[in-house]
Amino acid sequence: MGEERSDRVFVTIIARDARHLREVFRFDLDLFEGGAEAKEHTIQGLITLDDVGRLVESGYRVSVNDTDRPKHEHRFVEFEEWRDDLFADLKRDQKGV
Amino acid sequence: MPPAGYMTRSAVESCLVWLSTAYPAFTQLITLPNASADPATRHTSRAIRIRSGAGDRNGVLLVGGTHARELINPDLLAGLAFKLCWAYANNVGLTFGGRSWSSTDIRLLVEGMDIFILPLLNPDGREYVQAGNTWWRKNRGVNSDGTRGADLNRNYDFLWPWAIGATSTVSTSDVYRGDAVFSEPETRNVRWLLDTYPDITCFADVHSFSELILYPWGDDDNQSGDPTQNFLNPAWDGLRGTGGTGYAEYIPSVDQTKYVDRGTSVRDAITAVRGRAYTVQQSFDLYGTSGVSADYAYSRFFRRGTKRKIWAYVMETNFAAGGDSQYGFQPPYADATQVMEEVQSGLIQFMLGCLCVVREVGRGWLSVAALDRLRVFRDEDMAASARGRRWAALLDTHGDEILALLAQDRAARRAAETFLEKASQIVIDADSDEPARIDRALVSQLDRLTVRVEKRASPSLKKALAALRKDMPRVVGKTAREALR
Repeated sequence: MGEERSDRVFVTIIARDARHLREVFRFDLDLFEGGAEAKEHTIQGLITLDDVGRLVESGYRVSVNDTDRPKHEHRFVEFEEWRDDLFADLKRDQKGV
Repeated sequence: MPPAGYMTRSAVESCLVWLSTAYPAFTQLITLPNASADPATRHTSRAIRIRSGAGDRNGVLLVGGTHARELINPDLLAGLAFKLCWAYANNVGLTFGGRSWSSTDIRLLVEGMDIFILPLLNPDGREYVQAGNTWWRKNRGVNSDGTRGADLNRNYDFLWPWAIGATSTVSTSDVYRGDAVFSEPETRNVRWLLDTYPDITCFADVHSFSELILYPWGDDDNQSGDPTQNFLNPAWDGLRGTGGTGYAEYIPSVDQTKYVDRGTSVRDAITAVRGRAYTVQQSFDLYGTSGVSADYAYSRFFRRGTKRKIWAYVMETNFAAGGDSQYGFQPPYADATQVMEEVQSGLIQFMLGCLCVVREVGRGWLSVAALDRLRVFRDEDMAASARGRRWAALLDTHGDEILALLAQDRAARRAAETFLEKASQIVIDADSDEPARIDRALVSQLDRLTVRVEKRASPSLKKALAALRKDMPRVVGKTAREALR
C-alpha cells in the first residue's frame, strides 16, 4: 500500500472556472502547474484512470497527454565521473573555447 | 562535455564530502542531526557551508531535492557549490551562457556571506527514483497506518493543521502532509539549520517545474491593509485558502515590494543566460497550500519574534516543452544542464541580493548590538517614511553593485567605513534625550563618496545616487528621525 502506483497517466484537467479549479484539490490528487504554456482554469496531473472517471463525473474535462512510462532514459553517474566532466567543462569555459 | 548523467544519491553526498576535503580553508561539512526517514536506509544527510574569513555575516540557505522525481535540482545545487568553490579558489569568475559573474562577485559572496547548501533533502526518495520508481514525489518514511511517504513540502509548521488547497490528509496521496507537523526527519533538518544559524536571512527551496519564482504567502491572497487577517489569528482558522472570499493573508507592503523586486532581479539573471522568461508571482497564485517551506521560513519572524526576517522563495525550474510533463520533471541531461546554468546564475544574483551593505562595510568593527539597532531603524523608522523607504531601496536594489565597486576601490571602501561609523552613531543616538544631529561635514563626506562611486556605476545606480545627493542638503542639522521626514 502506498508504493508507487503503475498505470497512471499525465493529464490536463480543465475546470469550468477558477472556483471549480480550486475544488479539484479535494480529490487529493498529484497535481502540478503547467507553466506559461498552460491555459486558464487548467492544471496538470499524474492520475489513475479511476481518478479520470471521478473527475469527469464531477464536471471536469480531462485530456490524457501521456502514459507514465518514462520516455527519456536517464543515466545516473557517480561522483568521480560527474566531477571529472564538470572540471573539464569549467576549464574549457575558462579558456573561452 | 558537461557531465553525462544525473548524480546518484551517493554522488551528491560524495560531492559535499569531496568539496570539504578539497577546499578546507573555506568550506565546512555539516552533518544534520536527523537520519532519513526510511527505516531500511537511515541515510545521514549533510549540507555544506561555504564561507571564507571570520566575523558575523548574513547567511543564505539553498535547499534542493525535496520532491524525489524532480531530478534537476540536487545536481544544480551540488554543481553551484562546486563552481563557487572552484572559482573562489582560482580567483576567477563564472560564465553561464550570456551572463558572467566576475571574480569580485564570487569573492563578495564567499567572503561576505555564509552560504549553506543542502542539495538533497530527500535522499531516500532519490534512491527510490533511481531504482525505477520514476515519478515518486514523497520521502520514504513509514506513516502511522503503514503507508509510505509524506510530501515534505507540506510538513512544515505553517498552518499545518488546516490542510489548505493542494495539501492532503490522506496518507496515500502524493501531497500527504505527514502524520504531524515536522513528523519527518528531513523537514526537521531544515528547521535545525534555521535554528542553529540565526544569521540566515535568505532561503530558496528549488523545485521543478513551471519556470516560476514564488514568494509567500501560499495559503491565500496577499493583502497589506488589515494586519489582523494573519496566520496567527485563530478567528480565521478554517476560513483561509478560499481566495477572494473574505480572508486574505497580511504581508507588510514593504515586504511585498521587496519580494517582487528581488524576485525580478533573480528572473533577469536567469533570462540573461539563454532567454528563458521565468515568472515572479505569489505562491497562492499557483495554488493554495499549507505546511510549505518558504511560508514557514518567512513566518518565523512573525511567530517567534526572531530579530531577522528570512526572505524565502520557492523556485520552479524548467518547463514542460510542448506540454510534456515528463520533460518538465526529468529532461534529458543535456537539456537539464542548460536549466542548471540559468538557475545557478539566478541563485548567484539571489545571494548577492542578500548581502547587506551596512553589515558588510561595518564587518569587524560594528558591534552586533549596533547592527541590530540599525536594522530596527531601517525596518521601523525608515519603512514608515517615503524618504526612508527610498534610501533603504537604494541599498536593497543596488547593494551588490555598491559592494562590488567598493571592493575594487580601497579609498572608496575606507571612505564608506568612515561615513558609516559616524552615520551609525547618529542613528544609535536617536533615542537619547539629546540626539546627535547630522552636520555639514558628514553630508560632504557622503557627497564625495557618491561622486567617486558614481564614476563606475550602472545608469540605474547613478540615478539613485543623484536622487540621494539631492536629499542631503535638506538633512543638515537634523536628527536621524527628523531626516526621514
